[in-house]
Amino acid sequence: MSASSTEHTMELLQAELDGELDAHSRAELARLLLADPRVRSLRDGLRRVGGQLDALGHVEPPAGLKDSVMRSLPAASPVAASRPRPWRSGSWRYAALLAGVVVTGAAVVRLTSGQFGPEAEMAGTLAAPRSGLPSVATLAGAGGPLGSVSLARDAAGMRLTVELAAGVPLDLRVADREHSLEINGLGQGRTVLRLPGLADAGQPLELRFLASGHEVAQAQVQLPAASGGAQ
Amino acid sequence: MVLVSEQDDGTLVQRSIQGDRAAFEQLVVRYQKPVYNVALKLLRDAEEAKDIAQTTFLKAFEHLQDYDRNYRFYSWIYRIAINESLTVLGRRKSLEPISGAELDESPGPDLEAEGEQTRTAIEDALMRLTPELRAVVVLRHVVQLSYEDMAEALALPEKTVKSRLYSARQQLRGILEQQGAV
Repeated sequence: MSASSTEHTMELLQAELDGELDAHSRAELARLLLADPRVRSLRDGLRRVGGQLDALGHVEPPAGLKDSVMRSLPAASPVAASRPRPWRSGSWRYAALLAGVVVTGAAVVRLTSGQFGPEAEMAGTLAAPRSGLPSVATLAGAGGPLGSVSLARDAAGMRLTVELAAGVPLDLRVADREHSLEINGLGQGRTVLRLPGLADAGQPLELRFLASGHEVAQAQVQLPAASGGAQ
Repeated sequence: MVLVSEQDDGTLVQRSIQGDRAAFEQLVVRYQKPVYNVALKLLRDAEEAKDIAQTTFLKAFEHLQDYDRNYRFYSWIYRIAINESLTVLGRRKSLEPISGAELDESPGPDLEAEGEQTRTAIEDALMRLTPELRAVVVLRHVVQLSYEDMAEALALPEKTVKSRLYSARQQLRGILEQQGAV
């Protein structure tokens, strides 16, 4: 076997061991096994190692682990622990306008100032933002939960997903350190807003939801500066 | 394999975010065993594994709102556990990898049953891998994640996961053959 064919064969053998072989590859491996005793030997060796590793098994965790974990949790709920800072009313510029709403619930927005930054591509974030601000927030209204918001970034740019349970249309005011914008008439259900250039990673995004001009909910969200382990 | 539906985890996460501690307790009950075992197999130290498990759940609780529901909850929590374990391993880097001479000090066949001896040999061999290779082996063989889930948990491309798993198994095979354990 050449080095490349050996590598390919090992890839097939490994996929077989891990139960990830598709039908086509299974047939290919069957042919290789029939034709070459070295492949059969490789497979035997790999299976032995795999079998021994599987036999490592699970050890029961210490009896008091769960209670110990629960005792160590902060008294406040995750929501309370990361509740947005109070709004500095009057310091926000609400001059931005919604440029247009396109089909499938996506909105195109125009910023009040500054240029859109480069659109970075990043996989969805498992990691916690380093500042501690969440990328997802629930919207708590006076009469109960109003919905949730989540901020993410993909190949197309910043994406703010708003899910509302409110029975009346709400206006949304969004602001970061340099820009602000307003989106009118968000209805019940899910709306995806594209926010190119707004709230670059690491910069907090402040959201205010209004009904008939009165604030009914608020939230702060933020993306981590870079993807990485959740620490 | 972890046989839970994502919706169930998602519901528990949502309830936990809303302040329902019993919901988070269910997540702890559900994942304490695999999380503890991931840490134990990476560190081979029961006390440290317990500490890692506790820290993992505490960090998960504190960052529940940051958990991206596009991913599986268990991938996220295993990632926290692995990162925490790698940090601990980094602190005791000077002790790793365990040398062959140290491995030879393991109890002989007259002191252990054959099955136990084999398991010890495998665990010894695992500790001779780099932590990164050990992590893929643990995720595959201890918590039985798929390639896709491993890629999520390690924040690596699936191709890299397969390549690491291949390297890890080749090295383990070599070590075990050297010891006459395969």
